[in-house]
Amino acid sequence: MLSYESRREIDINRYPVAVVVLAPLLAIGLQSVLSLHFEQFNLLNLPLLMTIYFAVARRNPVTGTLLGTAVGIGQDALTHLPLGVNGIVNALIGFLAASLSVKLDVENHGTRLLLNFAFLLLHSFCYWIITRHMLATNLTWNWLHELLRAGVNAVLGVLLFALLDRLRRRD
Amino acid sequence: MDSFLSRYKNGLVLVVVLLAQVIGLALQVRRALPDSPDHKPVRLIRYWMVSLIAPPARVSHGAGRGVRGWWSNYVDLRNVRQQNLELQAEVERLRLEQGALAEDARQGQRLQHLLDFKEHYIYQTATAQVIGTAGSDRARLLIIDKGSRDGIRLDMPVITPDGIVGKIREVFPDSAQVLQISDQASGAGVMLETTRIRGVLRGNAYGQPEIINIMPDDRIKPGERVLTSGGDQIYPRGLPVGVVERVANDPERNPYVDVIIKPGANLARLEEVLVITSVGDQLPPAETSDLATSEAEEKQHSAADVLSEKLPSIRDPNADPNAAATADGAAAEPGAAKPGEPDSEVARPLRPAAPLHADRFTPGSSPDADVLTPGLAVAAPPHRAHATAPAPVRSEGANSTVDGSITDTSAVQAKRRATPVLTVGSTTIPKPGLSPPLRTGAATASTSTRSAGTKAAGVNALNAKPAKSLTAQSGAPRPKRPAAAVADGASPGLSVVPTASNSGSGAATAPSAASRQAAPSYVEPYFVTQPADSGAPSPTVAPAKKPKPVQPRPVLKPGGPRPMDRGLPPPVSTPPPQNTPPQGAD
Repeated sequence: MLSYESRREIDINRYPVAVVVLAPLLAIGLQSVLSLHFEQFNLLNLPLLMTIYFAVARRNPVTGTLLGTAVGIGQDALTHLPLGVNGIVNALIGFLAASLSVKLDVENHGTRLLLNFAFLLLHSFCYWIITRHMLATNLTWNWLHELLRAGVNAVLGVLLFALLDRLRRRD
Repeated sequence: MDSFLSRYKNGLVLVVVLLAQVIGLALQVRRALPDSPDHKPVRLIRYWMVSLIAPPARVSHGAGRGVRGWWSNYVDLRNVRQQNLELQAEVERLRLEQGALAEDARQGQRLQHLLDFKEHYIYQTATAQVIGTAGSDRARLLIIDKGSRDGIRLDMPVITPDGIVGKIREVFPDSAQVLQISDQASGAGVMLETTRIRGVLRGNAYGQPEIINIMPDDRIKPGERVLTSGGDQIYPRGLPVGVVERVANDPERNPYVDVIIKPGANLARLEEVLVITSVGDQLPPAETSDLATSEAEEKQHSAADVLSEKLPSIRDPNADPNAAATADGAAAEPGAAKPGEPDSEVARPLRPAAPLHADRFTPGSSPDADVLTPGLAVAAPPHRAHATAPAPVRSEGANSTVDGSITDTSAVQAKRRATPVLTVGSTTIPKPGLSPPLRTGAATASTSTRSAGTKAAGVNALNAKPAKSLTAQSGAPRPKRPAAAVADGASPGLSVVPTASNSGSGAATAPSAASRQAAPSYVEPYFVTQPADSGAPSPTVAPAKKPKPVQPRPVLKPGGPRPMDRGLPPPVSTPPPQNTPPQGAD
């Protein structure tokens, strides 16, 4: 059986390929469909949470970068924005998440909460930089909105990560 | 070298990936050359991603819609009959309005043709289901379940009956992306409905559509409707966009203001949209046939109006339009004539306005010569009776004539079978030798508005209880000037009966004691006013006795009990005669 393996000194995580492929796709699809019926769902960023989770689980910056790029371009494909806006940001987040996972205990819920919160804020800032200064669009920065977005996604990420942990295979 | 690559492999991969995407971004946002096509072919990545997302989204949307529809259809069926009736009535009303506006529209088309302006009419639309969004509040974009196989093309406008939604941004074989008007990348030519100020609509950073680069203008008020101007060559002119929500200063373009728009379409909860797939400069066939139907109805309606205006027997020019309105309202009462019934459209003769102070010279006040007795005094016209009459009482089964007098249908019919009467307009006058055309039509308020005191009475007359009409048996002394009493606006709801003093003691149908007691004693002695619901049978056959002399009118003494203290309405003082001719008299 095909499996996606991550072997490091700390832990070895294996995930079925179907989970690795379908989970980000499902996140993008849910984000698209649920936002149609619940406008507040726009606040969430499920694809980014998937990027963070698998990057942390893999603990490989290259894999995290490539995974983030793929998920981000997939998000961009559903928008009218140029392909690569979310790809750049997600690639950066994937790289940082995988790099930090080697040095931190990412199995702790508190650590996951803080990581998610920081990465969501970083994502919003990088997205704002790219769209405002590279695409010259008038995107405003609202601290309250971004903090709320980061907090909600961080809490959801902790719950989602715990759910995804059940799909992990251990040797 | 190998050690360098292996040591900085992660960083190098990140840099390469980021650099590649930045270059890709630069290529995508590069300005299109003037001779290049506006729309580049759809990138495979978008096509793949939408193809992956759209089928499951379509299935889930269809399943959810089916469940909701199953329940909502059951709930909606409960009131569908009433809604159907209301909608039919609304369609009829809208048809009339459309017919009335058709001529103006044609005139506008002729003028536009002279100006070589081509109007774009919506020929064909395709209904599409919204199955997804961009999934982000930073991109206002929808995914619909119709694509190029359904005739969807780029830049086709997407609307709802409430307002425009956006335009087609990308087209795939079985789906398409719609860029909403609330997105920052959108643009639409709009104008304000009343001020006709034109501008460009686009979304702001908060997802609200706004008209940008507008000079400050005090005429722009919240609530003003915004329509498409047609200048963008995408949206047909005149489509609703929304209403003005507020006007905000533009911090980046200081002299200008931004007009924030509340979109007519609920962009956050869209389920079905219409894609305008075809437009033209001629009215579509369906609309043309619909317009012809409306015009035919409008012409039919107009013909009735012209007839009513030109034929004097249809409408009384002296009638108060307000009274007509009240009559219309009263017609809806039970027992009253319904619109469309024959009696509600009875032609009524022109009638001069009631004189201010009727006297014996008033037309119609003189009794017929055959009932006059030489040497006998003639009673004064009972013009005060109506002025002091109590309010009529609502009742059922009564039919009031156009003059406001009340006729008991059954009694009148029986009476008319026995006594030939002559009907002039709606006034019933006994006339020997004539067969009685029976009139049971509901009263209109045309004559009930001849005096202020009879306006309300005329309305209430429509619901008055059966009362006896002012008829007299052939050969019997007729009541004095019944037509004049009617012309003076004798209070509907009151039956005018001969008093005991002059009707004779042997009248079999004389008023009861109660009715006599209730009758005010200060009116002209020949008549008393009797409430229609007094319960006392009023005589329909006047006694064939010689009327008694006219009793003097009681004089109110200073300090004595006033009529209103006795529960009676105060008498109307007779003003000195004036030289002014009666109002409306020919």
